[in-house]
Amino acid sequence: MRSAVRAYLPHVLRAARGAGLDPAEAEEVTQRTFTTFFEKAQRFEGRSSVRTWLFGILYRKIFERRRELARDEQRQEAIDEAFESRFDEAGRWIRPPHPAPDAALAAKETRRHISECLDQAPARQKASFLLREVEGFSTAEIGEILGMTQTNVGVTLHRVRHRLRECLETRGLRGTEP
Amino acid sequence: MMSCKDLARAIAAEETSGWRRWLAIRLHLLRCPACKEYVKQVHDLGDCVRNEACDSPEDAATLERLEEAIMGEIDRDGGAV
Repeated sequence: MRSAVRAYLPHVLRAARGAGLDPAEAEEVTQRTFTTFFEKAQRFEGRSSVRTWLFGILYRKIFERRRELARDEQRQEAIDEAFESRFDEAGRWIRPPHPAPDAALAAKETRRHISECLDQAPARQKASFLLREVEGFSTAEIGEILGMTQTNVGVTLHRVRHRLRECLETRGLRGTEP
Repeated sequence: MMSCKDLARAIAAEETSGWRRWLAIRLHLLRCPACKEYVKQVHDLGDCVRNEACDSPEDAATLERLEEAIMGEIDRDGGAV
């Protein structure tokens, strides 16, 4: 048991913090996640990996605790309109992405902007993005963890990535063609 | 022929499986610098967030304290498994 805790604890705690919980809340939810994990271990049927199952428990606890995080998906997705507005009727770019120097994304300041932009995203978008990019889960696994279809995970990833690009452009980190 | 809009959506949604779609994306990227830049930016965003997470590991003392708390709780509950 200890080896399992040791192996997964840093990832679970990081995900709890990444979900927007404050440090004390994140630690408490992490602890509860492992307690539930071991309580229910005998019921684990092996249909998903242990890691996927553990993260599923974590996110259920996060969304239980922060119901407003789960609710914010209901609002109209303005980001879809923003995406549409970048293309003409034939699907060609009207405002193509402006090339930026490679160094820009590595800069600490840019990382801070990305973090702030991500914090503005709805909870499931943010969770999907972090589970994919930081924890390396597949879209099918993310679907299991967050209780979404794989198609919905794709839509969610599309929205959050476009949202991030738009947010960074707004902050002057990514311009658009004149 | 795949449009820029279809490509941007497919890349961001990771709907790139299947050889026909894969080939359509590759062919489009060969002749479209704007989409090539879009793909690069999507990948860069992921790299940046991943690097930030890797560069900021959780505090060792916090992890140790939490590990002990978890093990203590499990032991108190009689070792659920």
